[in-house]
Amino acid sequence: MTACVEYSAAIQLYLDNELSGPSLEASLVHLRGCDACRVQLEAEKSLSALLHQSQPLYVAPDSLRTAIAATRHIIALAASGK
Amino acid sequence: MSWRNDGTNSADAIGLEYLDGLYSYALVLSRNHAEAEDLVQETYVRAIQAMGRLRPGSNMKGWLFTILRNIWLNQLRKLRNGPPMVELDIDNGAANNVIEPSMNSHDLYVSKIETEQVRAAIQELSVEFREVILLREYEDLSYQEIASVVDCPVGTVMSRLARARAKLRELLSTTANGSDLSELKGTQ
Repeated sequence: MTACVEYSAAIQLYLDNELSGPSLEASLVHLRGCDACRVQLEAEKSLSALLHQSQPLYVAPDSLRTAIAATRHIIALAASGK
Repeated sequence: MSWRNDGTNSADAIGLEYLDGLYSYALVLSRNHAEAEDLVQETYVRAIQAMGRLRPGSNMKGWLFTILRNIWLNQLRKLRNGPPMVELDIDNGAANNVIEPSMNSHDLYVSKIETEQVRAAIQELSVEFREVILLREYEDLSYQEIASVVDCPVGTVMSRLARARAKLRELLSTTANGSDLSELKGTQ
């Protein structure tokens, strides 16, 4: 279980696509043989999947969208000297 | 990446494709709809004005999120000397639900409940945890990009993210009522 303390952090890195090369290889090898890490990986995946289902977290109101489009237009006009 | 600045220094170069993400980040930081709208609007104004100073190839998305965060921090500093802040008006989520056209009414109901539970759980986290969850899980920024936006070392991003996820899993497992959320209990 000592090794799992090390790989517990690696699971997060793996899920976040922050591992590459030998680190990625070592983590994949470890995952194949460690039940505890696979359980943790599945739990982390479930959380991520749930969060991704509620994407985007909030939707900007139409009034804000309109206001920003107008602001962009005004600034563009001012910049072009019209 | 598609959010790199292509060297076009005009107001139109800052598209509205970042709007929902910036608004979500503003809400996660301020927990107040009116304040979030002001933050996003100010972000666009400043970004458009500063566009000429952004080098081609720069990470525009990260740049916009950094601007928003700096505006929020400046406002916080000013408010510390003023009246207490009003926050947490975030319950009117009905107007903010994204409806998936292929879903039936039961799926829509479950999805809506889950989205509300996710939002509520995220808003229960500390602001340091809320922002790393938003930037990683919803905006798909790398650890390096998050570190740049929140102005801290990559190692701090990693540890905050791990603790934020653990706390989020705990909060969501507590609110789970036989829904898919119960799967999160794996590592509790």
